[in-house]
Amino acid sequence: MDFIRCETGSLESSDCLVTVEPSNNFSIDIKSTVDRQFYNSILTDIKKTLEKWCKDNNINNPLIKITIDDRGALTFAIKARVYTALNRSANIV
Amino acid sequence: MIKNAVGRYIPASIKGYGNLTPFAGSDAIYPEIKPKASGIIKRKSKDQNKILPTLVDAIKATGLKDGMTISFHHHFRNGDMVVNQVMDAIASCGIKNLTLAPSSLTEPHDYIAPYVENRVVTKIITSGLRKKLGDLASNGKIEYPVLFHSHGGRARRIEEGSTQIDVAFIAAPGCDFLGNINGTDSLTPCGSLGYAHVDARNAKYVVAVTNEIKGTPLKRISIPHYLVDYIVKIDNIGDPKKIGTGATRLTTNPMDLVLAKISADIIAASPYFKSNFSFQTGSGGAALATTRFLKEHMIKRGIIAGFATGGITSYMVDLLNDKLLDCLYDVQSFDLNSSLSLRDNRNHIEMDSSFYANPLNAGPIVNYLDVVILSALEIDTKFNVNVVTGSNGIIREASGGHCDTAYGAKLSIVIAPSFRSRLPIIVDDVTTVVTPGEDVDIVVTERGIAVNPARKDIESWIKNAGYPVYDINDLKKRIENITGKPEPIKFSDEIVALIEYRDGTIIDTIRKVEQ
Amino acid sequence: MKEFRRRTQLYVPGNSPSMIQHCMVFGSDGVLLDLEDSVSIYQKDAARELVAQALQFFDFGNVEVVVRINGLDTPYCIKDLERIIPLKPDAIRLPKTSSKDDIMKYENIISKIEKQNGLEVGSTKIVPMLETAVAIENAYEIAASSARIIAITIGGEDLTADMKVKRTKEGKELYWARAKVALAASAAKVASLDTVFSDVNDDEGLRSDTMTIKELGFDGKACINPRQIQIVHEVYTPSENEISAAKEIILAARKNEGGVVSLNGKMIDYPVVKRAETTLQRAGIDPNSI
Repeated sequence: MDFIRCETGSLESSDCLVTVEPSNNFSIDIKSTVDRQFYNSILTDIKKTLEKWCKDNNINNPLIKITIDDRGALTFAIKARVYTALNRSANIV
Repeated sequence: MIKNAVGRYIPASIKGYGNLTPFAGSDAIYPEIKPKASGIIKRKSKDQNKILPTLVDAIKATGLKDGMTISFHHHFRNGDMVVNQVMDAIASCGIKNLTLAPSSLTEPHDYIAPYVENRVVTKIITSGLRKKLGDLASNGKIEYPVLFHSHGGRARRIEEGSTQIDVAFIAAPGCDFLGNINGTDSLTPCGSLGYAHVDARNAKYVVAVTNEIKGTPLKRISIPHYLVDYIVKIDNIGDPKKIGTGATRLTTNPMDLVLAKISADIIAASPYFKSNFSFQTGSGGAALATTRFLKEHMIKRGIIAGFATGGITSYMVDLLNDKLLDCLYDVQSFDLNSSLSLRDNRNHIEMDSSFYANPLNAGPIVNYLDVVILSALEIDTKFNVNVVTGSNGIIREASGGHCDTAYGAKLSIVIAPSFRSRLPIIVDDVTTVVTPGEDVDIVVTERGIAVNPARKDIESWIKNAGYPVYDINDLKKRIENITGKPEPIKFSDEIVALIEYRDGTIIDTIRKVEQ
Repeated sequence: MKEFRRRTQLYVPGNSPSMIQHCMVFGSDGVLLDLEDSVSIYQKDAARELVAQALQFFDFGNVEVVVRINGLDTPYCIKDLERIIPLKPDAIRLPKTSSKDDIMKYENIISKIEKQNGLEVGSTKIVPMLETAVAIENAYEIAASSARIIAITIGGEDLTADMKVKRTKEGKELYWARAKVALAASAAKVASLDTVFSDVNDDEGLRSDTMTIKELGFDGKACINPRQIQIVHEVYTPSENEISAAKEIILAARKNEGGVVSLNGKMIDYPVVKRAETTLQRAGIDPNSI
């Protein structure tokens, strides 16, 4: 599976901007206005969403970097943005 | 360390303030008989001119020296231009180690942050700190801990001598050649000068800072000339258009309006809602907008209110003009309409902060309030309220009249959106206790209402208004189902600020946030 | 199936987390999570996923949740339906339906998706939007075309554009179309929902517009700003006098079942009772509870 650099979401309040790009090794980079309180929660949401997306698309261990710039998005928005960013990056439409 | 009545640990003493008395309950400290503090006697020769050409001249004339205490009022709120110019002048004189004791500090005062870093100011006693100054304080960059007081607490401190002001610099929109002052008779009015009165009465020296010295005497005198030592004219003292911004804006935000409507519905369903009732709305868009919805209920039920107090808004002026309200007691005018009304309407009365909320006088007006609607940054399951620190532990807002009115009013309603930027408003323990839970009766969020279990009478009339009531722990869970449960912020042991309750006891401390 | 009052449906842009997360607290009877006009063509995928996640995440309480998808003439329509139907919103709003044929096309697609997802065929409810002149002419045919239809609605902006007339606040140009839609809905025994009033700062204009559509027989109206909700509700809420009169009528009719009844000298026949029931329902009172 080939990935390209793609973004989803925005930097508006309660949203987040998620970027997925090809990378030599897998990594997740989290920046958030509420990282002191929700770092682990955001990390879990990203991992779970990635897991689901891999399962939905039969993909194992994608070599990508996921970056999130979070502005206090709730779980539902983080999951949606990550899932769409993955779709876009893998050109699944 | 002693555990106080809201469960917070208070040190026995701290540098810059000496011994501390832990908070013992909002009604626990009874007034003792003690002498009032006052200024000094001055006899000026008949030909002495009060009018000095520059701020530096005034600073020199007052004999301001290292280690002294200066004060300001914050009636221009985000439009204030006096604090920064006076601090520039003081710094240019090489004076250091000052205690800054304003009624509050607002956003433009970011400008004086360097004066805190280079020790022109080493101690701040205030109702509020915002932005850069809040960051500096939270990071322990101010030599002495900051002391936060309420508006009533400040009047008490000054009258009892806990805060001894050496020089009060008073932004004076209306000012005549004698030194009579008001906040209204000017092209740049700020309305009431409520917080400056106690300064003028008790400071050793008073400097009026104005942008126009009138050649004819003022007819409406807020602070009399005999309390004013010097007058300095500068080009700009404040921008009235910026008064009604930030915490005092008139809101069109749908969430604020939902909250305002719910709280108005609750008030209208309460037994206090009858002719001659009295009320106050605190700062914050939703609290202020409650008046707008209350008006609809008043018209429908034919109820005319007795008085309204506090920060006065256009909404309240509308009630006064529509004869739905007998009078306004104005300690602070939150917008231009309120300033104009104060000038023109004799039922719109300027009051000083002691009249408003000093717990140790013969009866502040807050004690006569039926209902107060207040905002909050956090509320805990014990109903304690934080209005000073953000959920990230950083100082960002102001104590104001929150604990004064919550104590005084028969019904205190705290309203807030259920979460802000993912951070839930209801928590197990607020970051900082400003108002004790014993004085908070109802918590209103758009996702549910909780009632203090000490007030069993309330639940039935909220239900009659058509709103369900939740146990506060259940409401907290409902909100956490949406936001997730935040991990606690880590604090170091270093105390960077004290929260003084209105009676002078210490209700909480603020600790430095761990990096 | 849940029964909803349908005085107000609040439009919520489908790609805005901040609007979605609070949309259920403003007191509207329903929310319209929109994947169509409020979402740019570059964000259709993101909005679809965001709305899908929101449907699974939030407790909407008593608020009717309707998703407006993109129309059949777009490449997004099928994907929207495939993603949204399994999440069982209360209904799906179908833009620009013009005929019974259009509804039949949707029927086939929706039934197929229901089968694929193990849902009962027919369980997905729909609200066709009538937004063209031909749609208005076919109003009854559309309204009666499927058991899935719970309401029909008129789309004012597109319709006036199609009719080559200007959309005005007074709405004379919409009068006939609105009357026809309301009548067709009554004939087909489905609800009728009106279009939005675009000027969010004109409270009196909204009030007058709402009074007009209430008189024409509409059950409610879409709102584009939460501030509009209360005004529409005020127009639709019967006065205390109307409520007590309606209660009297129902009690009097019940006492004399079968026979002709009169109350205060006026004859109470079936239509009078029916109207009294509607009044109570609009006040949020169950007539059977009287």
